[in-house]
Amino acid sequence: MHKIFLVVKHEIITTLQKRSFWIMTFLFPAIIIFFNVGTQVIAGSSFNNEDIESLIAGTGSTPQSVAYVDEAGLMDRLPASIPDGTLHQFASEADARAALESGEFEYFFVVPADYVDSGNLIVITRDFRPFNTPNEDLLSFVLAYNLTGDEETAVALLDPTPSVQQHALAPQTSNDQNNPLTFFVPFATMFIFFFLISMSSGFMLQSVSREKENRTVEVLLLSLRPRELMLGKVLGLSVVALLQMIVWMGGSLLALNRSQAVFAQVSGYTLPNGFAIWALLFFALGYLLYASLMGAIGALAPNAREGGQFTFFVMLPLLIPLWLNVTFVQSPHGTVATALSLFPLTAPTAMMTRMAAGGVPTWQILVSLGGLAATTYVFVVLASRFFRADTLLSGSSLKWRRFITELRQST
Amino acid sequence: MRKYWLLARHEYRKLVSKRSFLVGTLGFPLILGIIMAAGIYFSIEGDQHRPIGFVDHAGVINTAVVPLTDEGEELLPLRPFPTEDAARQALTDQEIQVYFVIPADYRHSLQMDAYYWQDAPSESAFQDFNAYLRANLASDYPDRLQPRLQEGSDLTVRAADGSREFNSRNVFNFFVPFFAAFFFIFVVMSSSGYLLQVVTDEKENRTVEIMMTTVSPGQLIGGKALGLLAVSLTQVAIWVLTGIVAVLIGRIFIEALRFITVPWSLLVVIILFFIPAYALIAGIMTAIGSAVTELTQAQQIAGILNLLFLLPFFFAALFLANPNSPILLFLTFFPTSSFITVMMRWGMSTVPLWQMALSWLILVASALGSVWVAARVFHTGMLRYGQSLSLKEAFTAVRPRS
Repeated sequence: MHKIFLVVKHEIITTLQKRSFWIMTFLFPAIIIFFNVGTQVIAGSSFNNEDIESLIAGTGSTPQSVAYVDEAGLMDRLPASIPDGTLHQFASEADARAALESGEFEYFFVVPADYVDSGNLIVITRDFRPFNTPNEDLLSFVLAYNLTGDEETAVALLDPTPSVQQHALAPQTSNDQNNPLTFFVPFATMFIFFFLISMSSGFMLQSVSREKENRTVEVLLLSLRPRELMLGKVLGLSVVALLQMIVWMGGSLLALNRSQAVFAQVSGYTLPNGFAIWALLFFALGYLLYASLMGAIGALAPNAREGGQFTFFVMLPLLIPLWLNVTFVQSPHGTVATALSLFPLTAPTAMMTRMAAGGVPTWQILVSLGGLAATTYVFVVLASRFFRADTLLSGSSLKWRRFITELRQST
Repeated sequence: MRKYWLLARHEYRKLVSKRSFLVGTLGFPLILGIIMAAGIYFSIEGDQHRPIGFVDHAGVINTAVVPLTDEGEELLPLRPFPTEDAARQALTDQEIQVYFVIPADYRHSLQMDAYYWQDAPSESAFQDFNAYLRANLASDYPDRLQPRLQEGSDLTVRAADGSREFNSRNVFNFFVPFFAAFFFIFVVMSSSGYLLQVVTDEKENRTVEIMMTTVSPGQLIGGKALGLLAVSLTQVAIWVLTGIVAVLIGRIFIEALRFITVPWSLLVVIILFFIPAYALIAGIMTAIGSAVTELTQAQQIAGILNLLFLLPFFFAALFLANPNSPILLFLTFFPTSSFITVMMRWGMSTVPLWQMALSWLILVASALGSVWVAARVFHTGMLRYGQSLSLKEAFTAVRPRS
């Protein structure tokens, strides 16, 4: 027991002393947030986003005048709600081009003579940005007004359902679909869980293969049984992983609370009761499962480089929900999401994502947790079979076949 | 020259004959393809096909009106309910996926409520309901106007000089530069790992001592980098060919793919930028690999440097919004980010010729510099075992000897 404790202490201290650990724990999320949020803010401010509703209601900023050439002869009347000077007509394309050259306008629209039949609307811009085009809604609105002769119909045709209040009727309900956090929180939960589990189990592989590479393990095995070594490492690194989880989850929950306090439109988002406790349970089991797998690879591979080639395949089940994230966000209670959240290997990320979305029946959580616990137990037992003096001391290279032969030998 | 060739050939054969090359080239895209296909399949199949219900207090919808649709497109069926209670009952019985309640003042307010059971209705439910509404709003007008009133306009964006055009039909052409950038990233990621270890094998089994008697450090590194480049290009060529075949098959089924044309000028730019960009990475990675002995440490440094190459991707939104912003201008000229930035700006906008020329010159100069530095650092560190070069030693190695 004392020896296990020594291993635990050693693992905690060496990992916490690594600069890379602290970089990953604090700097990495900061970089992600900076690049995601920061660049969105920069980019968002340079998008053209005047919408037609605010223009009609007169609430938007005074819009820049929009130039057009009407070859179809359609736009002879202007709707009453459009302020004077919003539109500027040029008699011909040549005139409009001249105005473009002189810098009077950034762009102008051309309504071709066959507009009614073809629907083509052309915008000619000085600065070519196809994905940030000038808003054609204004022109479409005026065109529809001239075709119908009725302003209300023209607005409705542009967007018949500009504001739909969505209501869920199920008794145990998901979060409000009108809230932007409903998409963001499950997404973030998925990423946090994936990174936490893959990183902390990655430490396990590093730690085992490092001692194998520099032959410390030969000395260690003089005074310690292989399984004690494994147990100590798993426990020690679990403390480190928990620390990391507290920093990330705590930080995210804090950010969630703060953002609700500051922005009115995202308030009212609630995580299910006891979310933190469930998160802790799923994380602990998920960590144990993957750490024991990585430990097994570390015990068999001669060095970190060869072991690294196998990690992708081991981490694959954890990655699958990440690839299917669209499905999870769209229908968190659909067949695919439910199946993945009940399957033990994908459960840690899949179930937490669904729980963050809300409305998961308790029996599913319990079944998933039970399955995960049983699988974890089996994998820990299997992994401990790979932790033997002969595997730890051998330098033979790692092939898929060896997993089977070594497993047979251990019994 | 012959020695470069020998080294390159040796490196190429060694890597291509490995099983991991085969798995990486064929297996990886296969897995990726399967997962993407599964994702698309689930998100399409997962869409609910149950009808849309509605309670119409405003009298706008006449179920006899059929919206215009594209060929082969089918809208979700529409089911009217006299009261909200009846609609609620049908929802509880899972006969419909959602029901809309249209208030009496809809034509004026455009407000509406939607009720669903647990999972939010699919996007197509909203789109199809909009199509029904538009068709009903337009139903009083002459037939000739129907397409315009229901479908609106089809916008074409044209550059003032007429050089570029963008509309809903040629949208695929704008993805070509993205694919180029994506392949570049993939090549960087996959070969920087090899480049880091480019000399470790020879160092471990002491072959390097013998090799030094016949080749210079510059030749050794240049030849190996050339071999690795060939490996990466083989990989990319296989993928691109697969992609072309997929597009040729796909255009039978998907109309938008028929508008793809080969952007020859872009291809020239890709080739002109790719070679020096690769040389730059090769130089940086070998310099790290030969200065640092422990692989994990080298990987950490390389990981941070990889970020420099990935930098433009973090600004993806900015490329969409303002492709000529000062930040992106800086990234165009900064050697590590120039390839991707030029590609992305090419896709989103037009890049002035002088900017491209200047960016290319900076890139070539820094590539030559990095290869030269790598050779010097390698020269100093090549016969050392188990001891990393300190930063100071690396600098002295680079400084010209007096």
